[in-house]
Amino acid sequence: MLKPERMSKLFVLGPKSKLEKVVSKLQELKVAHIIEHKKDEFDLCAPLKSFDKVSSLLVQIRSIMSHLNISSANPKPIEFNFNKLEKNINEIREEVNKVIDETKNTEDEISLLSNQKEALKQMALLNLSPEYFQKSNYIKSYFGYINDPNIKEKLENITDRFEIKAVQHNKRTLAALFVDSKLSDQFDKILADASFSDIDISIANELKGAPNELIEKISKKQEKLETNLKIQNNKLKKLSDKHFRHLIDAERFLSVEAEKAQAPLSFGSTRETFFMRCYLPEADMEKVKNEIAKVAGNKLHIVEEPLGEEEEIPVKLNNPRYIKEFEFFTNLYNLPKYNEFDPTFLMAFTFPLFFGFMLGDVGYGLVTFALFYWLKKKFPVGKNFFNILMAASVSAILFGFIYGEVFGYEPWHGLIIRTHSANTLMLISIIAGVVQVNFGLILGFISEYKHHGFLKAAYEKLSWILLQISAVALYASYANIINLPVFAGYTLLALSIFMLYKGEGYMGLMEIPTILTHIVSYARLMAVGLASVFIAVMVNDFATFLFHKGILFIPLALIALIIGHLFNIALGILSPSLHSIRLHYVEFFTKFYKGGGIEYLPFGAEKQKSIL
Amino acid sequence: MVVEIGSGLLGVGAGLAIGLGAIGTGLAQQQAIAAVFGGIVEDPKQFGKGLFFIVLPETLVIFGLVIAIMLMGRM
Repeated sequence: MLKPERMSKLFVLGPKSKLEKVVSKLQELKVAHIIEHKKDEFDLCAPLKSFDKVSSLLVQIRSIMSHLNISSANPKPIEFNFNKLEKNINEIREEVNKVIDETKNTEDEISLLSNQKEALKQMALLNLSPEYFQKSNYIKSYFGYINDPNIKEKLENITDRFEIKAVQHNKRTLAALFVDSKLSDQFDKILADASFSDIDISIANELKGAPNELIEKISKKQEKLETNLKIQNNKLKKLSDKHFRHLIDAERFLSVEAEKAQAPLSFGSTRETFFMRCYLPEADMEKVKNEIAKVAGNKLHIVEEPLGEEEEIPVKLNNPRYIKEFEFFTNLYNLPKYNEFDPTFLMAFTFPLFFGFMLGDVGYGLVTFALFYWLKKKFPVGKNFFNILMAASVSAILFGFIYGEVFGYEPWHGLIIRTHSANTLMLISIIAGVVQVNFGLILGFISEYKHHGFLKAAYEKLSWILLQISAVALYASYANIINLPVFAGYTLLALSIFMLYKGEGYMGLMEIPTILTHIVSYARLMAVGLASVFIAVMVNDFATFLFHKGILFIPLALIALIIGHLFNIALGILSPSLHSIRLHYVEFFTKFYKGGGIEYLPFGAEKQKSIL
Repeated sequence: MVVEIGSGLLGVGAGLAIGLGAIGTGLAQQQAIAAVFGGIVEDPKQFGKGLFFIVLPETLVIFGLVIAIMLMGRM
């Protein structure tokens, strides 16, 4: 329970003729974490024959799904006949592509028309038809904004072989200019000086007629096209509804097939044989061995290989059902290494304990419990997380009974009255800190002892415990609590500092104060709890004050109660859970836990979705 | 209400302990939160680590509270 599941390593060698059968079986068994073969004197294995076909079908089906706006949700594990599926997908693709092409054409046409309309609107300002701007060998036309009121005079200085029409629009001068094309070079220069900005109207060049009439015509055409577009989109929607289920299931089937077909890419091969290595849980070892041997007609060479000390063994956490939910926190932080302690088990008790200690209110606990129950039903993806918080809510209810608190009121006399015993709460918090921090150190000691021997473990972990003992001893002798000579405390202190230096070097010495801050940090258990209870009391006092003001104020008092307590509950979910997690991650884990293990990803198993 | 100067100063000290701690926490969290959210946008898996980097500086104000409670006990 405190360690990840024990793993074994398997080496499998066999003739290539059996490759597909072995891969299929492994996929079906869903336990083998395949180790990727790096190309050395042995080449990588080629994918299964079906690979090309499957992957091209998969690409097609995904493109269809993206066109139809289908995202794969809850697929059913259905087997399909390959050839039938291929034919079927081709049919659907043609059907979909036809509509998509139509839609695209319509959209293009609509955008062309709206561009033409824009150009015509500009021409309409000058009351010029598009015919005037048609390309000609003798006349060059300009259309755009000019920033020079004296342009006409300037042009007249050169020639009179031009025609200009201008109008004020948006505080600028919109002008159309027609010139003898022989003089166009000179005109270009003058216009450039007048900061002429060209408007591209070539899109409307082909049209004929008065601009306003044309605009009207185009608008009508556009309307018609918009209705067409709507019809086409409806068609797409219908197609999507019709094929939705089928596509999702087929996509899943093909993904699984593709996974299978490309699995051999992680294998090694010779001309006639393939070989592969995989990790699997010790418990499944015999079963897997037998099954794949059987499926390959006993033509395989299967060997169990020993696990190396430095090997990156995948980690499969191994916890009973209730505690399994808390693996969420372990995953969130970092998976443990294969040889490390799995802290899930410890967190499963202390997280709800701390949470309850902080929130500690029967009313709030019931509300949060109901809320998380509802959220769990609503968002099954976050099941684990909400289960954890439901457990934490139960703990809050229990602590509520101890404190005698219901929504900040005190209907009965609790064991600890929080509003009047900050010091007691602080003492309890600090004791919790001392216990958890030292427990962490002991765990760290055990794991160091196993891997690096007693001395290193003592230097690195026992030194911290000794440091605390020496501090207590010194305090006790100076305060005359017990009759202990002062030098005993100092000797212990010196010894622990020496050990720390041996174990962790100068960094260790620099970190000496952290042991104090880490323990005092548990005072947050008291602090967050007090904040919560005082806000509740304040809300209640305010509401009581309003109640006594008279009958008119009663609705106001009720609103104050509801808003105040909702606010406090929101804080009461966020703050205690964050601080409880933090105490584990920062103060507790750092004493024994490094993490960084790689995840156990059995071949064939579907990846679990996570809330985050 | 007559308050002795000594207890008055203790009260001021308690207030300063919390207030300055809170300012420190605020300054630290302001930067931490901005950085963490930047990180989460790039890689949502960093959420877990980011979370406790955000609450890390809250220790300051809690220490302030501890000191304040200790001072109040002497009043």
